[in-house]
Amino acid sequence: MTLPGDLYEGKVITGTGLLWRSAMRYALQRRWQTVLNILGITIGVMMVVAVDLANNSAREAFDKSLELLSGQISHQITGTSNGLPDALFTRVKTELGLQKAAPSLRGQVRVNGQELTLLGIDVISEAAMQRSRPGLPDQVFAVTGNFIAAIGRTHSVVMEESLAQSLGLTAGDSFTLSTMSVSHQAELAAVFQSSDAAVTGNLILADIAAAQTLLDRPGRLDAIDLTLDDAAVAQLRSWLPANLMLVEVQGRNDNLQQMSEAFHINLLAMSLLSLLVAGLLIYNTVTLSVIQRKQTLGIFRAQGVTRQQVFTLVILENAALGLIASVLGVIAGFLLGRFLVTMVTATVDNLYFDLPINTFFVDPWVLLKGLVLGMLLSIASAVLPAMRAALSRPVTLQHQAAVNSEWQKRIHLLALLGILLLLGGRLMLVPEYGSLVTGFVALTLMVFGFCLLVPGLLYLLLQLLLMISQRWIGLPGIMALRNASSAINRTGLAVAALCVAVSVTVGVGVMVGSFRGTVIIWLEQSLPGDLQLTAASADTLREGVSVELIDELDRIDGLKGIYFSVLQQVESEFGPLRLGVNAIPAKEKFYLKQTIKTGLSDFDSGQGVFISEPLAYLQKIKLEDSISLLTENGLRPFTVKGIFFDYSSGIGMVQMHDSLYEKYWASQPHTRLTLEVNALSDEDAVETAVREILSIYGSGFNLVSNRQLREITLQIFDRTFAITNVLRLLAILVAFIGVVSTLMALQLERLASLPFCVQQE
Amino acid sequence: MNQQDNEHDSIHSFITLNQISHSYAEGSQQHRVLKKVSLQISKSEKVALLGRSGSGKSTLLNLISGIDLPEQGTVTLNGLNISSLNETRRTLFRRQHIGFIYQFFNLVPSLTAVENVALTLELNGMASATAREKSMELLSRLKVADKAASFPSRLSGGEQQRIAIARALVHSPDIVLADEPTGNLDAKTGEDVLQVLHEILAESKSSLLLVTHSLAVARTASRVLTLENGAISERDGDFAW
Repeated sequence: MTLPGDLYEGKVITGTGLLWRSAMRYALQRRWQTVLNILGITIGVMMVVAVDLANNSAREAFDKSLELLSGQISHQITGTSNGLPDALFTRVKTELGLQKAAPSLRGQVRVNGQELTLLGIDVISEAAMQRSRPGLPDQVFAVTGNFIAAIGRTHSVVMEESLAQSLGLTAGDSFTLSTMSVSHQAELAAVFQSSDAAVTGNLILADIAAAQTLLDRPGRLDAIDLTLDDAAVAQLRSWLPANLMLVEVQGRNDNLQQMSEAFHINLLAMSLLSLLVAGLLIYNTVTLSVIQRKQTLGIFRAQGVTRQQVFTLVILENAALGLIASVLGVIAGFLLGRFLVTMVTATVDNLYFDLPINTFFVDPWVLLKGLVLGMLLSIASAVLPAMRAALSRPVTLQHQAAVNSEWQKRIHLLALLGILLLLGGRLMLVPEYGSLVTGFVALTLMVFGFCLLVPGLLYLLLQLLLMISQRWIGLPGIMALRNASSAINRTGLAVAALCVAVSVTVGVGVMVGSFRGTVIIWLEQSLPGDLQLTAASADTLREGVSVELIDELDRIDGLKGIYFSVLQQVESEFGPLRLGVNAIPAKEKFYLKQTIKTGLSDFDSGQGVFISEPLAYLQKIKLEDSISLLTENGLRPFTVKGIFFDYSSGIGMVQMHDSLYEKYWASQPHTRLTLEVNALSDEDAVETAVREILSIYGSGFNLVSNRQLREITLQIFDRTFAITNVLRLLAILVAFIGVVSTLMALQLERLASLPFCVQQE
Repeated sequence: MNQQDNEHDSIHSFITLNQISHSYAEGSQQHRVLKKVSLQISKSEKVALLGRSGSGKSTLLNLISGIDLPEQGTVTLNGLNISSLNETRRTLFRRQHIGFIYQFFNLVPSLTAVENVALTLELNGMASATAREKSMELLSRLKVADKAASFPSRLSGGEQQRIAIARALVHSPDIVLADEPTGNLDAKTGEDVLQVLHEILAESKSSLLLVTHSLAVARTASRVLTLENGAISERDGDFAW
């Protein structure tokens, strides 16, 4: 006889056509199971792609917003919350001879009910800067007589052609342009064609002087944009007055981006968790299909189909299903992404940074990644069942008892591994090592550990139930429990997947619910008093609240107290932060996470500040550390005496007592008042009385009740977490599909053995 | 039979089982079903093996086909020691040299009759169209050509067993291992199937090892053996079971 080595050379992978046909027919015979399997992967891939697209779009919107508003510059001169005087710009150009400098001013405006960003530019400076901004063609900034003539008039603006169309405007039209405090009649001087309409679709351009008028900020700038070399930086730093700051733009932008990154990672982790659930379900389904086809696989093996061929067959089947499901998942993800991007961008906009751009950015790599991830998951989940099918000898493939006993032996090992993973996960959650990524790794370990424990727990539970109840449940009951027990190899992982999905859903629900509860407590404490009076006009902002007005308000019946307060942006060593100030005692105001022993009294006596938890976490600031803020006398360190919970802003907040603020920002007028109503008085009546007095003082103030603010905040909160609701629902849907698929497979198996049962009767 | 006799016989015999021992586990108990069994089958010889249920008949077939490895002893086919081959080579050996006929037919439910037959040929490297053509010829000879496109679930027991015979013989194996081929058929159908099997075998050079507990079926073979208490013995002339 020929030597085996020569005889069988090259014949290992022959005959795959019929094997493949057999596998495809099997899938078609069990079409509902196949459809459910495909659906499970499709939803998993859809979630990853949708969240990825939405995250990328939000990041892209963030990057482009920064680029659009400031362009490619190296530095910015910034001042206090009131900005800086425009005379400074002239001095920078004339005294220092810095030619690559341009003034910057922007604000939110409303036109025909649409929220838009008004950007003020100085055409001459822009020409010297030669900075490119996305979507804006060079000729917008070209120093041409026509363009200067177009936007040089006091109330003239220009905008992109499609935006003008959507607002129903043509060149030469007049329209009302409103800010929070004032409305003006503006004129659309010209329209331009954008190279990226999605970027410039919410933007109005005006000459810097026109922008100052329209935004009610005469003589003021937000910042001065600069492109500087090292020598110029040194020169400028020594020249700048102490109350102004030269900030490096890239670092500041990175800081802003870093703050919203945790939010993106959270979303990604949630979508990956769904994919993990889908993976468990694929594993379960493939294991079931191998068990169901044990007879066929046994025949194949006896006929001379090699282990390698059986393995390849099972893997290829799943790769094919994975490919179909992944393609569908990518398409569905693309559609869902369109919907999610609005929610994600709204959240970033609410919490971190005003985004003038809301665009759906489709990165082909994200689609390809979704496709590959779906395929890899399908294949990886099928590897163990495929090995199980391939490594068993033909003769044992045909013995169900052997499969079950083998599985039951493994339950102990799986449970042990599960306990180890749970312990490993728990150890990683020790706070000293805490980081977001470590947290997610720990969570994944715990989820896997729990999954591995479920079959064992289920087996024990069923045995216990059988032991306790067999006297009362009769033969059908005993059969049902024994059947359930012997089917654990098929149902165990589906149950585990359902457990994971339900626990994630319940867990996230509890987390969001508890978070909401915390926000409500925080709102109660951080919105002291009942009414907030804020300056709404440039005059009031400049001059502050007059003594006469305070006297008038003091005479209202039912008003218990009046406090000055401040809420403004302040430059810091970490970039822009929000600064909150008032004279209310700390113990009545803060929802503190951490404080030193004398923290409350130190705060009230102006010996230090409190900072928000996100700021402390991201910048690794501890109690008694110092934080540098830009005061009227330049950067000054402030000792951190406490850390408070804060959900008003992701960019970080510093709170200080009025006495401390007075010391370092002495020339800043008070532009906010907090009014406290007597507990027994009618808040509405007091509000009406306050409004009557304010009407005498013109339109320089806004009055908002805290009750209203709380409602708005909770609305924003609910909108922010709406996305988690969508993801939770989808995760539970995937698990549900898995359970239905498993039950359907068991039902089919039962049906196959039914004729035998009937015969026995 | 001593070691020297075995070596001498194996030179002349086509299939040789030399001092085979094998057992299987049932719970915590080990059952030894074959105890130092030796057997020789010549080329084209038709051998029947009689034995009670659980006597180890099917185990013997598994050992000859290389599905199982003996705990002790060797199995050689035309001088090739099957026990020395690794798993993949044993599978490839089975693919080319062995044909199986089972009591419960064991056709692949998701392949049609002709595909079930052609699978063995395609596995052996034959082009799909040629394999189908050759399979159809055999199905015609077995008078089931009209069932070629049917799936097994649509066929009667007799038809299924004819397809199984075609599958076992289509690649002209060295030996056909038939495990109770008529055990699941009525008497008439069983006779027909057996007749067809012997007709086709008469034209091929394949050997046959037919496992049965039916005396009538056993008598159709040229040699009858019995397997009892783990040992094989030869039966000559009339015998009762």
